[in-house]
Order: sequence, then C-alpha cells, then structure tokens
Amino acid sequence: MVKMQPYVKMWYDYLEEGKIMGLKCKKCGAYEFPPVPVCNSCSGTDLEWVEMKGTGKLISFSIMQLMDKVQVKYGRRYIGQVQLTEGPAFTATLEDFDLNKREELYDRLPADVNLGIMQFDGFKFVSFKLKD
Amino acid sequence: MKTRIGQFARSVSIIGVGVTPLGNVQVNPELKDMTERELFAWACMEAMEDAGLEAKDIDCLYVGHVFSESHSGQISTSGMFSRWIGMNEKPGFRHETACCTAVSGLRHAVLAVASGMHDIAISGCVDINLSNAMIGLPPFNRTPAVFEDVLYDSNALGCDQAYWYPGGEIMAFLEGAYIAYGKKYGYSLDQLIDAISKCSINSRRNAMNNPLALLVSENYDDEAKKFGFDDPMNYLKSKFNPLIGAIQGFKHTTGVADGASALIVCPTDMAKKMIKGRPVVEIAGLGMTTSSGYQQPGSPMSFDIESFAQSFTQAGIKDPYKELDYMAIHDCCAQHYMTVTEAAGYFKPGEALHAVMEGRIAPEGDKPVNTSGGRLNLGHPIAGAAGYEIAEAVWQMQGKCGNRQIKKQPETVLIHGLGAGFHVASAVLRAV
Ligand SMILES: [Zn+2]
Repeated sequence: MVKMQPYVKMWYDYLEEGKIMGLKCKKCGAYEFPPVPVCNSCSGTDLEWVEMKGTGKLISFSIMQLMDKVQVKYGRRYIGQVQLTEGPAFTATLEDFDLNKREELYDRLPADVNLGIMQFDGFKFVSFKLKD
Repeated sequence: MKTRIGQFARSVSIIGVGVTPLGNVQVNPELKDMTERELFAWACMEAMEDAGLEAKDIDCLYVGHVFSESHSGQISTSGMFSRWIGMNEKPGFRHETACCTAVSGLRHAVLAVASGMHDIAISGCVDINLSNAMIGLPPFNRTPAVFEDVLYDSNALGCDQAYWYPGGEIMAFLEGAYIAYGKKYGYSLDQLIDAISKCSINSRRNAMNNPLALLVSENYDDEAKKFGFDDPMNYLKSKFNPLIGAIQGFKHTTGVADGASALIVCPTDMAKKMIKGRPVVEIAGLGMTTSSGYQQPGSPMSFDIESFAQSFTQAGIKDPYKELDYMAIHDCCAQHYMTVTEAAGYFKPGEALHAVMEGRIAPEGDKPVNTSGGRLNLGHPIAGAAGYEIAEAVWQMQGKCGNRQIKKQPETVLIHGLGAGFHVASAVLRAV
C-alpha cells in the first residue's frame, strides 16, 4: 500500500513554522529537496522528513527583471542557484546583495550561503543570503 | 539518471519538410487573418509537396500545439485540424513539450514508423503567440497579446509552481548556467556579454538571409547606425538593449512569433526509392530528458548531456567534435551557443566563447550553428520552433540554403530542442 502525503502543502506549512525540510532516503541516504515521494538516486520509496542544515554554495546567479503579471509584485532581485550541503541544488531569491554589484558577486562565486525563509504574497519560500 | 537505449526496429528517414514564414497574423500580409488551421495546413501541405505525397498516402498525424488553451481557446486540436490536411479519421493526437515540441513530434512520428505500426507519419506543429483568440467569436477575431501575459504564458507556466516559480523564471535560470560557465573557465562578465552580442549579430545576419524571417528588417550594423553607434557590439551594450537579467539584454534573447512547421517520415528503404537526386536524411538517433529544472546548477547542464548521450548512443557517435558537421540549438537565449554546444561536445570545454568571437559558428565558419537565424532573429513560434531548425538542417544537407549554405554540405547533424518544464529532446540526422 502506498501511503501518500500532501508533500507540497506540508513543505510550505513547515516553512510557516520556520523550518526548511526535505526528505532523506532511508535506503541510500540521498536527499530529495524539495520533497518528492520517490528517491531519484536509488528509486527507494521509504523517505523520512528531516530538517535541512540550511547551508550551501552559490554556483551562479541572475537578476530577475523580466516581470510577468505575477512576478511584477516581487520586483527586481537576484536569483541564485545553490548546491545545498546535503547534495540537491535549488533556485531561489538571493537576498540582501546590492543589485549594482554584479561584478563583486561574480568574483565571489562559488560563495558560501545560508538558507533563509522569505515572505511572498500569501506564502513563504526558501531564500539565500551570503555568509559574511 | 541513465536510460537504456536500444535500436529502432527499422531505419526511418525524413522525406519532406515544410514551414510557414514567421511573423504576426495580425500584421504581416503574408500571414494576415490566418488562424492556427491555415498555418498548420500550410506547413503540412509544404511537407507533402516536398515528399511528393498526397494526404491519402500518410497513415498518422501528430499535432504539436502548446498554447492551444491559452491562445487558441481550444483543446484536442488534432481532431479539428486533421480534416484541414485531408487526413480526416486518421489516427493521431495533440501533444506539447513547450519549445521542443517539434522534436517530440519527430520522436512520435519516428517511433510510429520504426515500430512497424505505420509506414508514413506526419508531424505538424503550430502556435499563434502574438494574439489571442476571442472565445465565442470565429477564430480570425483576435486581440493582440499583452507582454506581461505572453511572458506569463510562455515562461511562468513552464516553471513548476510548487517548487520553482517563486524562485524566478526561465530566462534568468538559463542565464545562471552561463554565469557558471564563465566562472568555470575564467571569463570576465565583459567577455560573456561580448560573446552573446556576437551571437545575436551572427543570428541577425543569418535571419536577414532567410526569406522566412518577417519580424526583422535590417542587419545590426544598420540598426546600430540609426541609434548613433558605428559598432553594433557597443549598440548591444547600450541602453537600447535593456537588461532582462544580470548581463543579457532583450536583443540577446528571443521574441515569439506566429507560425507552423511540419515533417514527414517513412522507412529509409522506401525513402531511397522515392527520393532521387538528393541525400535521404535518416534519423540516426533520438534523445530525450525530462527534468524539473530548478535542480540544474552550473554548466553544462545534465539534462542536455544525458539527452545528447542517448542520441549519440543510438547513432553510434563516439567523437561528436569530429563527427558532427552542423548543430542546431534552441537559441531562446544567446548563451546557448556556448553552454549547449559544449554540452554536446560540438566544441571543447571553454572553447565555444572564442569560437563565437572568431566567427566560427557562421555559415562560412568551420563549426556552423543555426544558419537559419534561429529563435533569436528568425523568430520563436513555440511548438513549431525546432521544426524550423530540422527543416534548415535538411535543406543544408541537400544544399538548398542559398547564401546561408554551408560550404561543405553537412552529412551528420545534431538537433537540440529545449522546452520549459523542462525537456531536452535531441536527434542525430545523417545523410544516407
Ligand atoms: Zn535512495
């Protein structure tokens, strides 16, 4: 019997509680972040919720300025592509870095980041901040 | 994840290609007042004429139509369109994988024939992107699309709304791969910008040599002069090319267009009997990956590498750098001339940026890419997009490209299609 869970809602609910959660495969130890019910490393289906360490490396970035009718609410901002310490990569907003200093950000790649939680219109989502 | 790749039960070849010009059905006289039906039929009828076939000769159809709901106000359009090409009650279905739909269509058609189920299959792909149908009115009644809505449809709908969309959009995501590429090989941001500008200039020149391109009217040399720049490289660095990312400007990326493309395939044995006096183009390999996208950091991207690996395995390609004569990429953004060509091994790691600056990707260069003008300047009809590059590759292999013709007619070609979502669909074409 498959025991399905409402993974998407659970992940967002954890963010509301201030927790950045992922799934860890009990068979091979790989992480699925954000959560999906089958391990993409070993095909295992026995995964447990774990809190992520909240650290990673910024591999690349861009600046969001192509605004569709929804994104326009959130304005110009960096997005960063981060390799999490646990393995998975993720794409999200890079907070608190001067939009006029792209050269400096480029020089700092790959940069250590901390994961954070950012408020959007009606929900929270993962974000990144550079470690000083 | 690695995929097991077998061989086709029988060899399959392209026997006909057809495309419409790329423009705007509300503006360009060549396309004026046409609905999706006429565009689809136009491309398919061109492909039939090219193959020397009639509709009754064809066994099945695949209809690529991405924005059928949002722009055409219709679903299941394969049913509605089959009669438009004389194939009423033949088997088929509508499908979409965003911007690589035409390569998926090729895959469907090839597998139908390779399996022995059918002998002759047609794949046609259509979208009208610059205007929207008005529900309740006959479909030549259309309203011009609003930029922010087009962007939402063509971009946000392809980002996973569960785990990605709050983290950005596709063009920014793809630019990230180029930033990582630059960092990996020690290029400055200025070098990265110069290279994408050079790609845009090359692409515009190709499009100006392509009568299918209705949305461009002059080379960048002339356009730059109008705005007071002697050098188009400086023009593309100016405020007249506003940034849409960290380094890429509007003119480094694609604009959508209205149009349709089609192709017909049959067993290679049959093709050789039907086609005289020009090479038969075999589909030697197919590749395809599905991937959620937000987990692809850096460059080259694994979804490209794995798709190409499948195509190369099936086609028996061991050394793509030496064996490929031409490559067509999905150039929705100019950085793919670097990141995607290198993912395929068409260039060595870090080489493509210099190759671009030295003009090697031009039709007269030793490593030509997208001689058609591609999505950057020929235009981006979404579903039909890669169909224009497959048609261009077939014409190059047959020596039909006029002043865009590659000097040595290519014999082995790699096709790349990238669709939001994501999908990377690829194919190796070989003259036999
Ligand atoms: Zn596992």
